[in-house]
Amino acid sequence: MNSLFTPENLQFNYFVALMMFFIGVYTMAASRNLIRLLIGLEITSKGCMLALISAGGAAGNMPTAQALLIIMISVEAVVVAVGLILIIRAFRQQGNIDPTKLSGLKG
Amino acid sequence: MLMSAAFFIVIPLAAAAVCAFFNKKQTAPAVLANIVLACGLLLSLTTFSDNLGQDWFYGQAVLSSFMTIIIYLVSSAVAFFAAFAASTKRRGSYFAMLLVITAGMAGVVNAADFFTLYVYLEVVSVCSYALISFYNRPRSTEGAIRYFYLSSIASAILLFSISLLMVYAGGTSYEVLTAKILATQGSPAPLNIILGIMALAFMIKAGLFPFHSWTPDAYESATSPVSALLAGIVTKVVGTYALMVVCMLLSIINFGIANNPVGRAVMWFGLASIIFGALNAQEQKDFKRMLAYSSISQMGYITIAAALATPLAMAGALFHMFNHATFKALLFFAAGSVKRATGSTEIDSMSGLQAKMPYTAGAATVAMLSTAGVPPFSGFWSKLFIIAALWQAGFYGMAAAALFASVLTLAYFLKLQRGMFFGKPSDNIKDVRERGAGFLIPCFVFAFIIIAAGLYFPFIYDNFLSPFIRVLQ
Repeated sequence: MNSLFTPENLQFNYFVALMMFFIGVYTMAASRNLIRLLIGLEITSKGCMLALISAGGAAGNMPTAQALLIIMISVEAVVVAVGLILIIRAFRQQGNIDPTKLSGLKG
Repeated sequence: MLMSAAFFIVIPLAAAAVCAFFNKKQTAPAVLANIVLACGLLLSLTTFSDNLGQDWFYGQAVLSSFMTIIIYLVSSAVAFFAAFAASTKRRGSYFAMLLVITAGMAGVVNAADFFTLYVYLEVVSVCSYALISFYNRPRSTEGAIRYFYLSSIASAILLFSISLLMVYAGGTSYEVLTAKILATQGSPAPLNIILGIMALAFMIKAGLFPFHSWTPDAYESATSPVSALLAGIVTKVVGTYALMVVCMLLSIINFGIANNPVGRAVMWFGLASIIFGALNAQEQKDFKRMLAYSSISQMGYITIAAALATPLAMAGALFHMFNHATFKALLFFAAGSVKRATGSTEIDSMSGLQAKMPYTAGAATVAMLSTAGVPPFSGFWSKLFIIAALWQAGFYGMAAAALFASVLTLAYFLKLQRGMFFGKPSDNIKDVRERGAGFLIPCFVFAFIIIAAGLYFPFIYDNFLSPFIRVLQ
């Protein structure tokens, strides 16, 4: 398990993390559904988590990185819960979750 | 972290837990929140000089203590205003969130670590989404959703740069980073990349020009106390304060980072938002939306000075942050009073409010003149600092543009004044009366601070700004 996050693997791990980051950003840019946008956001932040843990492994600071990662996961859970609440509210109020059709605010 | 810094975070959190138990009560949560925040303001003022000892990097202690004062000042005023203006059945939750957001902001400015900063940023952001969409209206839900997505992208970018920081410096605290910077004099390229990515994240959170799209929506759709809190202090703390930290860290090696690519880029973003915000504010038909664009413009002034990072510019940025907190919060309070009295904030829908609401109009006029940088109000001094610092560093074009945008500020506020407050009262506001003392006292306090800080500027300079300049030199 620990052999995955060695300094030698850093470049590969960062490559995967960056790929995940940009896949998430592409998902957010391309989709017309707030739930899909949220999924894209999650893929993006999972890429960041991978980057953080591999950074900890490469810097020889694995305990700190693991602690940070656990805090980050709990923070993510709160943020996702609030995001889903907002999406549910938007659906109840307007009947759709297409970001391009939310047009109450203009100008 | 200092002992008193822990108080600023722990006590509001504890009070928030108590408030949440009195959800349906009308007075108890409001009274508790007001007492806690007022005590916090007094504590932050009295402990200002004690906190100056411990620096994680040059000038950080002064910056943190001064920001704590601004946070508690605005939060206590907002809590006072909300005690009268926020009519809801769930007062307990409302004030609990107000207290948690204050604790989160105090955490952001007292953090000594970029990851801690991130955690507190998320606390502040989550409370902001909840407060914006508190009243369950379609428009505010939408504003909150826009803020949610853009702010979350910014958080992801920030985390990515934190991970790069961990590879580069082996840790995420300011102390480790400062030591690493001092140890590797002369090769700032990786540092520029990392802190550049970080600056991008904070520029999104601050709502600077290309990333501004969420700002007017969120400010307009939220209720007035919440917009005052968001525009007055939240976006300052989560965006501009953090940007100042980044710029100060960058300026440890190359003093006056204007010649550094990151500093140069941030300065251009700042200039773009000064001009864009001022030009867009001219066209707005709604009071609060105009204030939001004005906020983007003023944020540009703070950013341009922070990125210049000479001691004079830093002092200007800090003082402008204070001034912006006071005058923008006052203007949003005035907008709230007008909305409550007339039911609308459309500029064209009424005229001659001055005859009906003389005190609100007078306080708003003071704030507008201060925003535009008219002497003797406090906004004049901070803009003078910023423009003089730009001129001193040889950015003549930028200084001239900043000066020109200040005139534009005066132009759109005069338009607002003429449309809304001056002239003969229109028919639809015949029955409008001045709001009660609860609405007026926060306005008067801020108007007093604006005038007093302008007239007794030497006092402010000696006690708050010159320690900052001294540390930076």
